[in-house]
Amino acid sequence: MIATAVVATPLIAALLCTAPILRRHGRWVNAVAALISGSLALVVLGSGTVSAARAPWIPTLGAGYHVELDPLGAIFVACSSLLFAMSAVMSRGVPDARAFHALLAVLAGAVGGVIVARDLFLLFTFWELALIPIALLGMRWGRGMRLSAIGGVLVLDAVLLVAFASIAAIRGSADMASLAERPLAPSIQVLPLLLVLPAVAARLGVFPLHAVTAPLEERVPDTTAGFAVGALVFAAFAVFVRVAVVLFPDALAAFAPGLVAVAAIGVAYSAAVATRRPGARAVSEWIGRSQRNVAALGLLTATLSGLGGAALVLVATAPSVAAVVAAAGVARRRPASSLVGLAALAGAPLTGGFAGVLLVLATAYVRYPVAAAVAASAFALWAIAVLPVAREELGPPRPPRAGPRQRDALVLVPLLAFVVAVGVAPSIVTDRIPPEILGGAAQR
Amino acid sequence: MTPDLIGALPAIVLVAGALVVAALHRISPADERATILLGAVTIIAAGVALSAAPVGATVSGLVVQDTRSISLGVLICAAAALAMLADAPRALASPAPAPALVALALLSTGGALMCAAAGDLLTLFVGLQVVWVPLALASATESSGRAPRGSALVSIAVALLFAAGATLLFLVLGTTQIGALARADDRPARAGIALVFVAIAQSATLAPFMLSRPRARAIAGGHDSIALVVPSLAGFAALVRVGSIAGVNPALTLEWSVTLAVLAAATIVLATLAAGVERSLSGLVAFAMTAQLGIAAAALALGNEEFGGLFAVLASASLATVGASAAISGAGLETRDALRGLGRARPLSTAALALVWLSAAGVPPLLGFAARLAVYEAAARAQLAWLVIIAALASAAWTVIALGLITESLRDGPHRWPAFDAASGTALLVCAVLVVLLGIAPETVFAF
Repeated sequence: MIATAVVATPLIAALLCTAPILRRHGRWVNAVAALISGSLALVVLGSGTVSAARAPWIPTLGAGYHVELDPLGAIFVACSSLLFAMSAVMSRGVPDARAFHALLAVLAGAVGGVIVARDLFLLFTFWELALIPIALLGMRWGRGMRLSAIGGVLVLDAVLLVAFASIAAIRGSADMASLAERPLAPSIQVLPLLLVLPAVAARLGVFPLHAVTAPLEERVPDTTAGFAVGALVFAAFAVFVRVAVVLFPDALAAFAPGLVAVAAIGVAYSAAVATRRPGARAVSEWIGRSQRNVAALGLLTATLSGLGGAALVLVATAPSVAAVVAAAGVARRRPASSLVGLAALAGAPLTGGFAGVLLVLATAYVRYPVAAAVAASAFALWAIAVLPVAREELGPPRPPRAGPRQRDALVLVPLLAFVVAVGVAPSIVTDRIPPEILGGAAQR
Repeated sequence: MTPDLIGALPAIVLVAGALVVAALHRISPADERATILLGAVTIIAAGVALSAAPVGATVSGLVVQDTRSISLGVLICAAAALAMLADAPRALASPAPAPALVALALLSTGGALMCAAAGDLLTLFVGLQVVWVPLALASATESSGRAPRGSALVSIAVALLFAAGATLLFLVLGTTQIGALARADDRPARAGIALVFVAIAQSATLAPFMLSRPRARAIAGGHDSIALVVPSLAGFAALVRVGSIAGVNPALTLEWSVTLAVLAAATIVLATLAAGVERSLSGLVAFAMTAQLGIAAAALALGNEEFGGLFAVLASASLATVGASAAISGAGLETRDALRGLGRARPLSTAALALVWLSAAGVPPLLGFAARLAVYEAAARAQLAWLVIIAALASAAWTVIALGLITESLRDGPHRWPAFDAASGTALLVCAVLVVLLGIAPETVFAF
């Protein structure tokens, strides 16, 4: 019930946002929806139980409505709800507000759907549905997003769908639980994995496929930047953990060394690019990409601590990007917002970014010491990239610019508190990784 | 009532309706809009009569009513009724009297029903001609008697091809019964089937025969979406009838499947590429339908077991085409630029149009996605992964096109928009609601 509510609540909000009677209140409709989704996620987190729902959907195709919200998923839903609330509340005065807020709510529902879906076709439905609002937000309200920006992502998603359809055709079912009970033979895991990984890597922002989603992330409106990033990376994490790790463990293990090397290069590359970019938004986006490559590194270690570190990094990165971008230009009036966000991006202690990255590097060092060493260089590069931004944001007085208002602290404060909380107590996330995610090969 | 009469009842309803409309117009010229509504109601009545027909009713073997013919017939009636409403503004603005166009559209729909229920090649031939001739006459009445020469020549050539093929089959098999194709295994019989197939494929808008497709708009007169949807559905209904027998003939199965698979891929690719350079919205709609018909051809290539997927694709293609056409005719849209400002002026219509376009592109959770998924899964099982990849990539391209159109409609534009025509607006909304509901619960469609 809760799992379904997490998806349904934002979608209902999307419908309400289009109602003429509520056309001036779309922000608050979405804020309420975010509050409800977040609260439901906290209930699951607090109780430690799993909320599931099953129903027939398309028996002809082996597809069923199967959703599950476990504590790990609840963390992502909670984070997503915070980002949703922030994007909604801070997006005031946008033209065609009804359409804008309706799309935002659809995005929130789609992200929740990807996190809770336990059927391949249901997961793909929400996976693809998440892309539509991001594209429309960027093209209509954003920074000049072109149609070609979305072409690459759609091509990779088409390949992903081919993989899912093939798996369902071979196995006769798209239910992930039943697929996990009968893993594919190692020899036939390779091709499906090669079809699934590019789409996941692109959304995760892993080098070099970060170039596919970069045009999307960089062109969405400022107030939705963090939410868009979160939507993409949370979906990628869900697919990697629920599909790639579970269904193709042998193929993943075979490709891991090469992929780890690529991820390590991605960490260093993105961090280096960040040092050359002007402005808070560009710097935060590239540092975010660098940290997402660190998360990929953690995922590829196929250990519980690696997964925990990756999850920590991802739930800290998106809010950090969101906070920095949202507070950009007004840091003198909102120094705390910008400082905490920048600190988290730089991997400062007591932030989620620090705890997650450290956990991933420590885990990766056991098997891939060179890759871990290369990735560790990013700490210095992040600091180098952040310092000029901090100097600019907190420097001498400049002409006032429009930006977050007093009441925007309502959403910025919880967001930043979340980033600090997962840094101070990373076990909130790491203890939610169920050992059975890695099957019989679970390693600490 | 005898089974023969029951089997022919839907066609009788449509022909009678056409005569009534024509007679009423002569006797007492009525409100043209009311005539269009009467035409839509008549088509719906024919569909209801069809759905009530008992399976197995025949007219001396010329007409066969099995579950597939009934399903396709109901789809044809539903699509034609919606298309008639969608085309209302253009029909009313056409130089030809709307009742004449309505009567001709009813005849064309009757011809499509004959194709769906054909048990004999003669019935199929007559059905295809009854589909196309009224549409050509509609164009002739609009252009003051000067029917496009090229289109007429193509129509005649296609009819001759079919006649030649049917004659060849009669000479070899001794009968024109479609069921006799099951024993066609020598070269003359295969040649006959090939000729018949070419004629049908032209109606079904498969590549390369689709190159003559723009003539559909030239001969449509005031019925753009009817001219797109009805002949295509008739063509596919004919393919189902012929394919259900030829496809299981051991001597023909492989050729049938391979030919259809290749044509399907070519249709999808050509239509998608052509859409990339098409500026007019009507042209985009035509190419979108053609691309979806390519996927339907892929479903047909997979055999008789995949009728559910085929039906879903045809339904999705019809709804998307009629819905988009309704928006174009209802709001007077010609090019992509004309969409600007539609979002602010007509938000509900814009949302409906967006849903219809996204369904045509195969975006979940709409009907177009579920229909494609059924075909993809079946193709994957049949080791036709290459076809799945082509179709999936084409779907990605169409999604880009659809998003571009939606974005255009959300941009600022003219502050004064004409009132959206009620009939076409209704058709658009019905199509949008159906693509959403049937997308969420597609099992309803697969069960046909």
